[in-house]
Amino acid sequence: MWWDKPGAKKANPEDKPFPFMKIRWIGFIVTGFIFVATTVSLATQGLNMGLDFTGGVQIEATRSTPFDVGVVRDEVSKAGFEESVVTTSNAGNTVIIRLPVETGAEEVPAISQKITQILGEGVSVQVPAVVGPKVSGELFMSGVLAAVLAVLAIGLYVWFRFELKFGTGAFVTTFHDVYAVVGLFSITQLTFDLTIVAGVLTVAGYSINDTVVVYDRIREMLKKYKKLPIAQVIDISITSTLSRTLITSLATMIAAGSMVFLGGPVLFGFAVSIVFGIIIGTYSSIFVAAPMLMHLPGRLPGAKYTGAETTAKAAS
Amino acid sequence: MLLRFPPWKVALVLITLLLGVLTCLPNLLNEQQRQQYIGWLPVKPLNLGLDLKGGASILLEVDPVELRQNELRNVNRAIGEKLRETPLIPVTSRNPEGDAVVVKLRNPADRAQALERIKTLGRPPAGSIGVQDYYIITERADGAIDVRFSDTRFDKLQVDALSSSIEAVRRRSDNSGLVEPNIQKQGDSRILVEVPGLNPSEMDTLIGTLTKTGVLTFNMVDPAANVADYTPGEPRNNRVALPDDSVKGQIEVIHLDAIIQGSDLSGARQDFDETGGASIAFQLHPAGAKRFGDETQKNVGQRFAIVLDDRIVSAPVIQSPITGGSGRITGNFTIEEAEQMAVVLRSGALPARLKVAERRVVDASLGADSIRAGVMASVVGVGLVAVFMIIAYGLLGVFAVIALLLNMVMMIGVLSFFGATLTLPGIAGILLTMGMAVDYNVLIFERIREEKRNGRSPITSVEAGYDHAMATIIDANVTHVVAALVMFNLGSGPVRGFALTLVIGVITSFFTAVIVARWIMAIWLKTFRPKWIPI
Repeated sequence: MWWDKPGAKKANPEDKPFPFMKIRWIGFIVTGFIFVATTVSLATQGLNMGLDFTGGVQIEATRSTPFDVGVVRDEVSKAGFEESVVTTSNAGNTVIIRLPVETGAEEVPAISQKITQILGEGVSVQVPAVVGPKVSGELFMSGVLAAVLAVLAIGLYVWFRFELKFGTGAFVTTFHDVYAVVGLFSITQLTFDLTIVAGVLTVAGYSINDTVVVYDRIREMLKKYKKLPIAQVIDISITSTLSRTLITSLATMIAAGSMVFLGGPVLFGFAVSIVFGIIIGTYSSIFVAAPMLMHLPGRLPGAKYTGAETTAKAAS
Repeated sequence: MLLRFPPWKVALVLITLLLGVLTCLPNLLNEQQRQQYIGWLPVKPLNLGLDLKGGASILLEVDPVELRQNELRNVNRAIGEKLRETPLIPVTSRNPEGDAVVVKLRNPADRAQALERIKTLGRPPAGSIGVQDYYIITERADGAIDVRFSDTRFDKLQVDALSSSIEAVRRRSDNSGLVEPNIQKQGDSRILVEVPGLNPSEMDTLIGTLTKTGVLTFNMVDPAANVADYTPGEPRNNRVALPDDSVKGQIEVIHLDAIIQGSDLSGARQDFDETGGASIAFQLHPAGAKRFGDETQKNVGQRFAIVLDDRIVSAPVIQSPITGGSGRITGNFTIEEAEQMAVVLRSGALPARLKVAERRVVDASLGADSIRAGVMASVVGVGLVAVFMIIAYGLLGVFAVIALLLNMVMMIGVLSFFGATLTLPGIAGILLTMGMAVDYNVLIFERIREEKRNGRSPITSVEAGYDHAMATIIDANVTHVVAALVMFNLGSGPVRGFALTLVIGVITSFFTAVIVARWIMAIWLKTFRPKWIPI
């Protein structure tokens, strides 16, 4: 480190790599668990879609003195409508409240009554209106399609720059991370809104970055250590990039962490998706992306590694 | 030689940084100072989003009267086609009148046959259950046949009109380059559009763009018709008289059946004609191009009218057959109007004009407390990342932090230049980009550390460090850009915004963390000639 005395000798991590590939079964267990938990949770309880996706009921109320947005929001959320959006207009004298309720028409008058109670005396409440989602079905599908094709394009690029195996690996790893983050939101039932979509896309970007850095080093080491078994080459590569992986993850985590603790309720979900995504992305670049190179069929640079048998032997 | 910076390179770096600072500057001044000191700069501060600052809220409504008119016109055309089938049933007149299409037959003997044909037209597709016939057909005492929409059918048409209007409004606001408007359905017949911080004149332009029906047709002019026989706008004998805006509203009689419709267009953009006046260049789909070619071939020497929303934009003479499938609309309009028309034509027509039911100004949707918390978190976050980098890398960490701060300035500058809208999640996104941007420096520093361990001298280890890290950095970032390009081209609304920010972040991070930080490092190496790199 920078505080070391000049001339201090440091051990080269390449000489003594940590045997990651010996413990890659941990990865299988964790990833299996993530996959099962996410799938079961998505199938049984789905996602807690936010106002952006579901739409809801909009109630408008006016009185002669300005409203305090913070107070109204607290009151409304205390009455059981968390995640509602409160805006003022007309110099603060009009308050517009959007509530994330399923729009069964028979409930609307009851809700309206409840809000009237909350707002108190001297307030005229208009007839509530049903508001559609910010994100229409068409928009949502085109967004999902764009994201899937983007990840596919990344896979193709990595294939072009490295080998088919690496491309497949990058593709699967990115999906793994995105799936895990979506799973977290399904399991915890945190509100999934447009901000979280941005969070998930950020996680995908981070995950690709991490995977490419590790792959890049593996490719380099495969050329450098042509004689070593694949598992050991991967261990060397991961160990020598480990310091970078941890420092970058920590730096990003610090940024996202300050949002979790200081950012307030609006940024909380977004920040959580990023923090979890960084953990998963770091984990998957080591325990998903790297082992895939051993278990997928196909060749690797450095003609020695051609088939599954060699790798299986090398791994044992 | 990665560490050599000849004067032209230094100049390039400094100019780029200066541009970044300049474009960022408007965000630090208030409006008055901005006008006073840098009014000449064509960059405005970042728009603050609906959540931070509020904006305009517009409630739009599909005009039911016009919708009925437009739909009746379609029915009229369909009836015409049906009656022309062999054996042809001759009519004396067939027109939309009030809330009905009125058909007058030439021979009363055809009546049963005609009724049967119109009925088949209004029958729902086979297999639909519980759907009534679309039309209510009544026979008048004078022998004319009235065709009206049944109430359920018209309700259905209104519902369809609303959802297609929402998509058209979305495309139009995307096309007109405004970022992040909220577009939502409200109730059963209204569209709520919320746009961050617009001044009144911008708001008028936006409303104009969003509410134009945008129905474009090319119709042949009937030179034989006597203008005096027609009331403008009221169809008669399957012809209609409309004012021609290119010749001071002079009335022209055109055939109702169009040769080309808006849906035949594959593209439209604002352009200039030979005299330098504003015009709209358009392209047609192959089928439309063929039809246009055939019609213009048949009618050389005649005039056709370009009709937009029931007004004739211009009525040029067909000089020669137009077979290329592209052309230019000229007329009496300004560049801004041409641009607006092009946006409207590109995004497709509305089923009917949209009426503004309500417009008002809304305040920020986030309270001051939420905004303060978000800004606080960002400042603390960047500060902590900086401290962390200095702890991890010492002096080199300081270089990285300088690069990081410059990166933030550059990024805000570029976003301002593009007129982006900043929301609270957007601020968080920029913060996060900073967290990730240190990755470039981390990759390079780790490489330098490795090279140093292998016993290289300071200058060669720095050089080799940059050299080796570069391949990784490029691969990692090209993947980002590839992903962003795909998302930008296929996504819409928020996804596009995200993709654009991602690309900007990659470019500014690369510039500051790789080029600027390396330059600083080169200066340090040259000035102090250190015997040992503290890393």
